Amino acid sequence: MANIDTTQDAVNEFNQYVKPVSLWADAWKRLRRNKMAVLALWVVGFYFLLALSAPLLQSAGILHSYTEQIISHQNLRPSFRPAGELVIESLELRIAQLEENLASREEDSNSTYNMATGFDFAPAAEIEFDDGEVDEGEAALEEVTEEADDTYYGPTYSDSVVDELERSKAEVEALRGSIHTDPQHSKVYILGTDDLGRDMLARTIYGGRISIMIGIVGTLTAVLIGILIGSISGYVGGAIDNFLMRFVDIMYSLPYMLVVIIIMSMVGDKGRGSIVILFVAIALISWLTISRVVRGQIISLKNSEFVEAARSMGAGTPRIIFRHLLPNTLGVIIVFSTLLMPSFIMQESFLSFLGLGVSAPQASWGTLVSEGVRGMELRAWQLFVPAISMTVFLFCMNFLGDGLRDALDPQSKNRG
Amino acid sequence: MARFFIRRLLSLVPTMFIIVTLSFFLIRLAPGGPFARERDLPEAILQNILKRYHMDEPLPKQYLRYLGDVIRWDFGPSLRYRDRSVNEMIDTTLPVSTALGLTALSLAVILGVNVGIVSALKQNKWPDYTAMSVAVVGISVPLFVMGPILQMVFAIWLKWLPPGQWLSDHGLKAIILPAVTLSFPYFAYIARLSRASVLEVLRSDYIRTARAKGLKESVVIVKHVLKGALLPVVTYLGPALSGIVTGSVVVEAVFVVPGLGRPFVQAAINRDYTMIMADVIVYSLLLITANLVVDLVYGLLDPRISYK
Amino acid sequence: MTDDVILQVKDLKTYFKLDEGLLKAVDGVSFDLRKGETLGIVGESGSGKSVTNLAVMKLIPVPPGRIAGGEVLFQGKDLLKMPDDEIRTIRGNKISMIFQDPMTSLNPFLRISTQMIETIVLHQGMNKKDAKDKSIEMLKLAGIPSPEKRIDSYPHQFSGGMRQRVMIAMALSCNPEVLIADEPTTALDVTIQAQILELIKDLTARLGTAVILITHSLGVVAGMCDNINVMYAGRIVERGTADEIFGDPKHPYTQGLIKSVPRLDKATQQRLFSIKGQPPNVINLPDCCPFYPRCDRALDICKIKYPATAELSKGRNVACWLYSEGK
Repeated sequence: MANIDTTQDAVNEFNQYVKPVSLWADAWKRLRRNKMAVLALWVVGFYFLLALSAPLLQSAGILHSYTEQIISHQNLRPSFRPAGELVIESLELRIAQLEENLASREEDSNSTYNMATGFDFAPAAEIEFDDGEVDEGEAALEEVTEEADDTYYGPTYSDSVVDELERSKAEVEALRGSIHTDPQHSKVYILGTDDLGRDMLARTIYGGRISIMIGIVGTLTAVLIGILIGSISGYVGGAIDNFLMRFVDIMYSLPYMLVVIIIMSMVGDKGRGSIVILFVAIALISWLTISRVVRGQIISLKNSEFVEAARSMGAGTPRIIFRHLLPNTLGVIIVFSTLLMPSFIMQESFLSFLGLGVSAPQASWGTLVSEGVRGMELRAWQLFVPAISMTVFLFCMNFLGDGLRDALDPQSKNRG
Repeated sequence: MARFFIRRLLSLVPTMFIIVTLSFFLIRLAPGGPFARERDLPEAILQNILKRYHMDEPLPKQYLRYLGDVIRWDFGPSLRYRDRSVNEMIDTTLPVSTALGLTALSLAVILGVNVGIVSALKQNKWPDYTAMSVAVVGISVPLFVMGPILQMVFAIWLKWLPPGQWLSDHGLKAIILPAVTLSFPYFAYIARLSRASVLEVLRSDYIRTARAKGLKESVVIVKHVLKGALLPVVTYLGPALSGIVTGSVVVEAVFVVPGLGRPFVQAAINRDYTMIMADVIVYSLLLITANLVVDLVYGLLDPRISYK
Repeated sequence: MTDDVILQVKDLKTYFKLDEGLLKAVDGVSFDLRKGETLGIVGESGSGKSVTNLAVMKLIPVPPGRIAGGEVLFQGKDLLKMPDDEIRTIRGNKISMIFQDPMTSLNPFLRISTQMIETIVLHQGMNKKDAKDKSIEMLKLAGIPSPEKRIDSYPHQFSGGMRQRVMIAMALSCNPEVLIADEPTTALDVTIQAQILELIKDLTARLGTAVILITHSLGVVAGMCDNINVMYAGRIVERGTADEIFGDPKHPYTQGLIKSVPRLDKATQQRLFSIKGQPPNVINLPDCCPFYPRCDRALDICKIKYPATAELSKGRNVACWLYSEGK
């Protein structure tokens, strides 16, 4: 009688005709089935966790300080070995180069050629002070423009080769002496250091903290303004709707980032670099799209029966908007916010890259990337570490947003 | 149709007027002037400078004067580069930016649409997965990361293409890297958009009708699917162009392209009023006109839209 | 008898592979269509009646759909085994279709003339001018006023009823042997419905076209069809002539359907009958009679095994344990 079991199942199935599955439970089920979205959710969660716990990690000594500059640890490549060893290694490499250079110069009077080879791959020796703190904005731009003829470093006179050789030898000696006593030299920079000797890992995590924070706060602001304007415009209609939407139209016709740039230039040197002003500037303009989305949703919902019913029972306008209409647009708003956040982060980084965003000592991913671009030919990690961290995060946010859209709105266009 | 066109054309005037007015007062009312940096300037000299730029006059008078100048397409002298007029700077940089932007836009549209169609037709097969992974990368990787990486790979490591500068130095090769970088996110978006919209049209009733009539699949695609499927792409051209204008600021910085973007950012940092204003006007005029053209094209493609 | 059978569907199975499981939309459907006959297929939404007919034309989207078995013999040849090139010469030519929603079934971006001419040019080998004349003639037959002028309009310039007339004109423009009409009147106003049905009846009678009329409304099949198949959960549960089905329904489902039609000729004070419960979800359906949870006369065996089809008389079948010898 094995058949009985299947019969039992059938009875069950047939009795469960109206299985009440809430929109959210259903959406969650669909989201979980989307493997990429789940992976993205984990990665995003990991980023958030890391960003939140960064100060804890630092005080626990797991993470180095992101501001501490150790001049002798400049431009160390990513490695699991202690910094002291790396410094000695690169100094020795440099010494060898210099000695070879000297030797060949004695043989060959034509020194220009050797000069070139002697100095090209000398990461540790170049001491390049950035005017980053003074005026990051102009520095960034000028630095980029000078990229092409940026191959000249180091001393001009041949005597300085001898000087440097002496100096390097002395440094190596000093380091050898202190390597086991000075705790600084036992530091491990697994993602290398930047050109001021700061830990890239710590800087990237703290950069992420700022970028993610701007993303969250900006999104919240934009969504709140957008919901407010959109729902008023959609629900009240008439002249108010007309006025608001005309305004939105005009704002739309302006190149959006350019307006942000104008605002950043308006606030002047003092205001620029302040994170608050930055995300106010971005949020002021980015509510446009969401207000349109909300307005459209509200208009299509406002004529539906359930709103009629609510109104016939004496519910006032605010109550109808907040209790009846907005909850029904929540799905769209959530999806939109998930997709808005990466675009915020991108825009902030865009400004920082141009030197109009966050300024030193704070750094966002955009700042880090723009710093990395300056030395990318020789020190690729300084570009790749923040660039990849940022891209992975944006990638996951986009995947998550797509996944949420598919989950919350199974009929949506982008469902493949 | 003609009447609609003229009416739309006339509607540009108030929009531009509002943009000019808003940006004029926004910039002027902000604390600190373009000469605030040069604090050591003796009062008399400062007054002289201000007088030279008519900035000693009351604001309404300045505004009217500026409005008159703008109508005559005269943006005045640059406040920063005192020997150059803003018009001169725009005349030299705008063609460069336009060339870069149009190349990028064409690349994005042509490649995006084709990749999107192929992706939709090969749905859930490897060409689709490949194309859509590339598209997600395109949407997620910021321009200023993509630019330097492409520069590093193709210009520095492989040495196939020049790392920067412009046509005068490297000929047509110089436009490849910046244009590809600039077009990438929009290519990605257009590819996704056209894929989704081709898929949607493929599922529609009228395609079922076309198939039930015994038409060949190729005829069904070319004659029945494409026209409807490409309409969303046309609608997206406006926002895409706006994005390309903004993106060109970064791309021009990365690839040292002598376009409009760099003077604009410099002007924003230096608070070079006349330059900022001119940039805003030029950019907005460009975008508004482009949107107008997009609307017209849309109307031509969709018979359901009538101009009354 | 079998000589005048032009379309023979044998044990047709069409499955859809969904995330939730295997959906057996059509599970072993067989029927014959004779020359000039009008066959009604009746069932609730989701019973697989539309899928059956899309499968006949091999128009099931693959994936997720799959024709899992069976034969569709048209003039002795199996359409399901035909290469695509060959079946395309039959689609729209020998067998044509009209669909439920005339608002979406015509391409909104192309003129009516373009859409009609392409079919005629393709199948009849006419040049464009002759094809256009033929189209105008067909539109006139379909009752479109001043067709010479209207043929160059776009679909949105027609009303729903007019569009369905255009669809009918287009479908019949190649003198097909078979017309499959998939709920042709469901999306239309009640006042238009009768006109459209009359038009289909009239035109197909004139052209000698056999019709498969798919509908969920018994009222529609009553006046139109010679024979009726009743479908439930992907299978045909009862078949017979229109008189037999309406006069002496056998299957409890058919009985329920007929009782639930409001009747004006019987002045009853009773409430309108309705079949209790919902149509079953046919995903992963066990091997039982899918109707038993809603059936008043269900037997124990109904829960265990699907009934074999019992032939009560020639062409009169019912799939129910009540009529099965094995009960």
